[in-house]
Amino acid sequence: MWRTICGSVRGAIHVRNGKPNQDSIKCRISERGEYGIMAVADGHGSGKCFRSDLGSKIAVDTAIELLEKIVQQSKGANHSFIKDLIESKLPGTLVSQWKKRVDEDYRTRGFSDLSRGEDSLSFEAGFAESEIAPAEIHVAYGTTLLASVVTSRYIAGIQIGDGEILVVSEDGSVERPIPKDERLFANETTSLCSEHAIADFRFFFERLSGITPAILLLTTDGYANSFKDEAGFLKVGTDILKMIKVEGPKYVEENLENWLDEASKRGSGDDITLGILYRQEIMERVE
Amino acid sequence: MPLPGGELASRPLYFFWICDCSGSMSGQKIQSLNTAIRESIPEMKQVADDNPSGQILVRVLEFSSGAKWRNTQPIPVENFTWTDLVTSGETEMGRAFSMVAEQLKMPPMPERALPPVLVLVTDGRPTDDYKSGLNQIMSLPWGKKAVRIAIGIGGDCDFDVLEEFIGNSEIKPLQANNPEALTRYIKWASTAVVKDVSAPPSQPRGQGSVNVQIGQIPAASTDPDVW
Repeated sequence: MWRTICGSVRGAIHVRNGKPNQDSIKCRISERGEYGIMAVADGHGSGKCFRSDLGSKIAVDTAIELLEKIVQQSKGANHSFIKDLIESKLPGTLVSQWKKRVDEDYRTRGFSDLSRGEDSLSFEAGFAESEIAPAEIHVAYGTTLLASVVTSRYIAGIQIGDGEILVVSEDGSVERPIPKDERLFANETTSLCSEHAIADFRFFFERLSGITPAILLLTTDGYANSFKDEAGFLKVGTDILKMIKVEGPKYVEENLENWLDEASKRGSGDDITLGILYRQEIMERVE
Repeated sequence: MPLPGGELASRPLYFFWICDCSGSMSGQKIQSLNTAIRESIPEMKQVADDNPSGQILVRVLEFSSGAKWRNTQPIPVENFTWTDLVTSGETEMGRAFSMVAEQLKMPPMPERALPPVLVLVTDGRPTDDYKSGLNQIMSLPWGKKAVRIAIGIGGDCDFDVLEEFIGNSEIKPLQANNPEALTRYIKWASTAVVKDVSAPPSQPRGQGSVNVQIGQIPAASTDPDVW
């Protein structure tokens, strides 16, 4: 039975600069906990991406809806069919749905409400709204997206842009199921708003037979960047597993945002979001 | 109860002074450069204090006939002091670029670093093969992503070379024709630029040629030209 713990904090730099938390997170657990879905998104902080807090929210909402639809519609389907749905069909649908919802949001809000605000300065103010190209609207809402689904039969994930997905086994070993994308360097990232977004998605899919991961972590890049080295970041997986087992999920839930806040203050200064999908059975074994 | 994970740390920001110490820099030029950098240090430290999310590490490379690092290791800005540069010899800028390129490799540069800042200060024209050294910088991921600033002292400086070093049409070389202008540009590079780089917002790939948006470049000096 799958359960979730979620936390998201505004970065120390954003607190100093008066900017909002541009990360978003959303989780969905089925009624009986047979499957769990989680999505995390990191809205870009650059001046042209001044609606990215909304862009990231639209991204996680869309991802959860579409992944849940896939889970429900593919019950009993073979693994290769589901893998194909996730890797071949989902990115296109996700990108087009995200852009459609962004366009709707823009039609409701426009950019004129920003004309007196600080953000308009970032958006190369000075042209009429009628001159704004659709691509520029999408850039204003630009965001990364990571999403994962775990059922009794398979575990899968999709990712565009930076951020991390970690799979933790019951023995505490931590794996990164999606290999690093060498293009994500310094502060540049692939994005839902880019022209080639569909091709920029990366995936993992694993059928589960017997051995099921203990926990799954999804984080925005602000967390990994807060550790002195990679080993320090990967240790998060082992430690969270141990804390859930020993102290219990309530303890982790109550402390999570304090931990993330501390990591941002002493580390990257960026917004940090961490989603945890854990299997309730890992608790019962300890008891 | 400790936090999950290993040791937390702010992201390192490597700041490189690349200073021309050739014979033509002797006299008022090198004196002004020494004074300008020394006077900029307290404000650079203030920028570091204001943004604990970036740890500023300073390196100083002097070049003339050859090039050498002032310190074997980067110095945290809080411990950084300035020792006057002295002049003699040629302008082997290419050698300097090669040595900077060595330091921009991973390692010693960590992947989680903030974009490095390279500030080149010169009054002349390279006397060696600067292109091969520059190519070494530009072949590296951190070389491409570095924020490259160039300050040319006086009208004899080869500004085409400085533009090539910057490699970005949106950032022009700064021309300092008197000590006041040099001081202003040095201060800007070591404070305003560092401030922008130490909190770089993420951006989608392919959106503009500038890796980090640099704020307003200081206006030209109104003092009379002396160089």
